[in-house]
Amino acid sequence: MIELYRVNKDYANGQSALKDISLHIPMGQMTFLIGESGAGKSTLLKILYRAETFSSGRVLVGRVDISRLTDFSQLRKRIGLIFQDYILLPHLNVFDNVAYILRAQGASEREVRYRVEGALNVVGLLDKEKEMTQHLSGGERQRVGIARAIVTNPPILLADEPTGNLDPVNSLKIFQLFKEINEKLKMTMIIATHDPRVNQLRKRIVQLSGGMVTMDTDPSTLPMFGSLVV
Amino acid sequence: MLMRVVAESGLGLWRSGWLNLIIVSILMSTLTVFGIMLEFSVSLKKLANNVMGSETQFTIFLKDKVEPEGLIEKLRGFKEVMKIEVVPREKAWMQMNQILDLKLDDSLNNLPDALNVRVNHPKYAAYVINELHSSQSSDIDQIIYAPAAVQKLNMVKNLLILLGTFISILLGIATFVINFNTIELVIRARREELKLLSFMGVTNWFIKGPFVLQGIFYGLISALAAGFVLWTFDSFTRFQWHQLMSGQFGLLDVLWPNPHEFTIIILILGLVGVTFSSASSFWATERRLHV
Repeated sequence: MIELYRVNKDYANGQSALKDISLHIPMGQMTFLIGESGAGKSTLLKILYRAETFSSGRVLVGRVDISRLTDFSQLRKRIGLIFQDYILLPHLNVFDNVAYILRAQGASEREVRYRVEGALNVVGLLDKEKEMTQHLSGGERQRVGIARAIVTNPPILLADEPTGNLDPVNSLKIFQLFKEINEKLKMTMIIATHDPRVNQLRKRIVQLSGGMVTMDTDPSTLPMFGSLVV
Repeated sequence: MLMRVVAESGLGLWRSGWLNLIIVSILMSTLTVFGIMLEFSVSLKKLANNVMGSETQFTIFLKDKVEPEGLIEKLRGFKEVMKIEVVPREKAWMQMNQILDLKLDDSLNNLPDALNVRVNHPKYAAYVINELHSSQSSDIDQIIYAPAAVQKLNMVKNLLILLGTFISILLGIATFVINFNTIELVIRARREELKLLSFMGVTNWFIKGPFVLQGIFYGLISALAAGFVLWTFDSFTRFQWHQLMSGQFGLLDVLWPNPHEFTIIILILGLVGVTFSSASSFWATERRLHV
């Protein structure tokens, strides 16, 4: 469960990135954050994993008030992160990229193999575990990024413009993959994107504009082939 | 877990490439200068003590066929006298033959019996010697005390230490700055990756530890390299000295450290190297790596 109560984010120059944001995202829900560049999507996500601070309000992640945390590692262990530019380690192959975080957390090699193979299976890259990541296509690289995010089985998954560098076909495949992961693994997901086709997935959509929530749809009321055009 | 941190350090070293060589070269030069300074300091101290005697020690040569007991009794009356060592003429003859690498017949021994006297402080030596002279003892043939030579040697030793310390500090600062900058460069190059690790809940220890280990590695390798340079230098100069002296006159052999002293010098170099480079790495991570 993620809850934001009247969250504001102001910069030193007086500009506001977020204005009075209140959101409640129940456990296991898949939510898309949409809006144009500079709307505050990335800032909101960064606040959730404490890469950014907020000026006022209250943020609860799994009932923990994150403004009171001094050591963020416990919070971050509960969150899987996916980035637009993948941020894969170029000197490691697919398997080792996904395994990296598990090894850093002290998992045994047996557990590492079991979990990494499971994650690569979910994203459909089991046959490419030995490939170096620079030899992969953009879509495949993002799948490695997704596998890395889910390999520790975190309850929350945050994705910041995960299809920003992908063509429309691959973008749809990635969104479809997110939907499958959400349904299979029951992870709470927040995906920031400006891709208007996410309405086809019949999931919750929160629109931000100028740092404010301008629309919050109820997934059950969406038509099958969305009328929402952003 | 520790092995993983070690593996990360190895990766960091591999990625630093030629910078490793530069850092190790400079740190090695620093430690070599420091090592030479230590060696000279130890050697001059030994030379002063073993060959010329220290500032707190003087030697009394006894007249022929005089038993030393009476003089020993007199010397014990001085509270400033700390130690009295009797050196019989036979022992002195044997030592002289050893030091000068001679094999002279004992019948040629015309050395006197002697007493090595050590006082509590250099300032008492002259006092005790004056007292002995003024007592006009018939037992004493000659008193040998060479504080000026010892003082000169000590002055040279102190100057060398000062010079060596100055050069070491300069090179040390250079090493510190270069190591700091290298670690900073590596941090900059891997900023995204390190941020990612931090965002994924990896502990600070796992992120920062490899950089500090990298520094420790630089220190160890540099100390070993400096030790090798010192050993080569010692061996070469000792060989040249022996060649020059045709294998004789080993009086100045004390100028070179013995294996025990050399081991201690290498341990000191290792400690200094590791402390220096790991401290600069740690400082770089504290200043530049905000996770």
